[in-house]
Amino acid sequence: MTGSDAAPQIDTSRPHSARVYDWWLGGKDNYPVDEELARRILAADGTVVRGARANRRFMHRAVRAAAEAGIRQYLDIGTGIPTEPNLHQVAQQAAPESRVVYADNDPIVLRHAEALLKSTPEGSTDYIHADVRDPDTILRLAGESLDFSQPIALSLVALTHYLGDEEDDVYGLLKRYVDKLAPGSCLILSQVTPDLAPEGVAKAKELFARSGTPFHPRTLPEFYRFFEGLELLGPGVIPVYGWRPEPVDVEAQAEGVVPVYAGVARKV
Amino acid sequence: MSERRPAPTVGQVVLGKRLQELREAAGFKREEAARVLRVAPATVRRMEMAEVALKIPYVQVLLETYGVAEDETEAFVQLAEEANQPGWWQRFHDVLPDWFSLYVSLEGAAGIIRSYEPHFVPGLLQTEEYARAVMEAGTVGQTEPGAIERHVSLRMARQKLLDRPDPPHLWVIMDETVLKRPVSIRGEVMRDQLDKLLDFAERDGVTVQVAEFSDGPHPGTYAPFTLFRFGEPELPDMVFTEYLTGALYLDSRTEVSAHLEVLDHMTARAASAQRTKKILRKYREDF
Repeated sequence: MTGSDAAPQIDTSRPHSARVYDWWLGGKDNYPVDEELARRILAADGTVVRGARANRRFMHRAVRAAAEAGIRQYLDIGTGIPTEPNLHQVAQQAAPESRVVYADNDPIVLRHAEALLKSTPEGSTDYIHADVRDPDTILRLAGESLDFSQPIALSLVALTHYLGDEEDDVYGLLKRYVDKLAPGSCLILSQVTPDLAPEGVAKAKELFARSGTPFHPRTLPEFYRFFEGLELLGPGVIPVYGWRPEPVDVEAQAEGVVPVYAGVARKV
Repeated sequence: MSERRPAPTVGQVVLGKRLQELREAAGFKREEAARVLRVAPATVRRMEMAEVALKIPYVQVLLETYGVAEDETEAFVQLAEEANQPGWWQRFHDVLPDWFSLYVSLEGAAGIIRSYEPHFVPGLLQTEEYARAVMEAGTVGQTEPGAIERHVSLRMARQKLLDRPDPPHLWVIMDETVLKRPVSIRGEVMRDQLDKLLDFAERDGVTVQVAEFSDGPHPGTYAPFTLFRFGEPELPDMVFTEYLTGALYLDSRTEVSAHLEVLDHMTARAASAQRTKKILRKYREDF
């Protein structure tokens, strides 16, 4: 792990979005406070477990699409707690020489990634302890193992809904990352929307906010704006299940609505 | 006339727990389940607590009573049959206390083994000489040299686990004390041990982190403990913690979670796996 070496501030007395997510995914790397919030949000918004799984599967499909397009470098921000298959496994299954950099702001999450996410001998995996709101650090450290003159797939899966328009300047932030990417690079995004399940998502937002995690669902035009100046790959911006679905996604779709948009775009 | 039964295998423990969960989910009391089997309620309790081997016909009737789907029943029965097989470690029964027999079984069944080691290199990574020195120092009042050799052989046999085609991931946090207090006055014991640690630290399935003195006190400074995680999502994590004359196995959500949280805090504060290799190399030179 590279990044800040100062003694990290760790607070596990309050729920953490990565561990809440882990509980929804059926993981065991969460504590009772996380489970409690996860259960309360699930009770208010029955789509969250499906949503978490759908986000994971979207990541797999998007990474496979990037690999098919010839991309061999990945920068994943907001990695979260390892859940099989992880991004580098999908990428390296398609192309063993793929190089992957994982970045997360939570020191516990990062150590889990570092311990458990091991690269193929041909490729590499690296881990950056830094916040998405600090692009200078992430880009500088990612540059130690990725070649920014070659295409990179940049993924923020289920992350932007924790970032605000004003307080985090999320649009400006994303642009700073994308500006550094070479032509042929990809931006992989998914995030929660109020469009498809307004009531449940409003309740989830309130529960997250009360636990100290601001939550920012975005409408279709708002989500679309993240891809400004980029060339969206087919089928464009779409509810997450619809993005190049595989048979298992078509089946899952029948279980009900998932209020998440997804999209992949290419820098030209 | 009761035959002495070997300690339960991990399979029996986790399947017993699963059997209890399924009973509770189906809304049955132990007495009611016992009535279906025409046995005493204590018999059901013993199966759930892994105090007796799982009798397959009983398991089948119970699962049917609880309304468990056919495919899960089949899988359960198959696992129960496997769980009833004695493990390779039974041949060490002369030196192996029951509580440690379960440990060896857990170790073999786990997908991830996370441990905190305040005093010694973890058993799975010890050299034979190091293991012998630890045992000799630790066996107060146990003077039989044969017993120590048996213990050393058992420990070496356990290590085959890491050479399995699909080994568990071993993730250890070792206090710097381990490096500061040599187990032997012979420098080569520690040198060989550090070489072995460094070799294993290069493996994909092994993560070693040193908790340095310079980090200050950390939340794990009570006792060594190990957290086992199994590949099957429905099996709960288990924590093993040892004391002078025995050991505890913890599987309640609250206790397991407290240990998980402490491990996570320690892992975030301890030296990274990369830096740990540098630290180990430095100590290697000093010995």
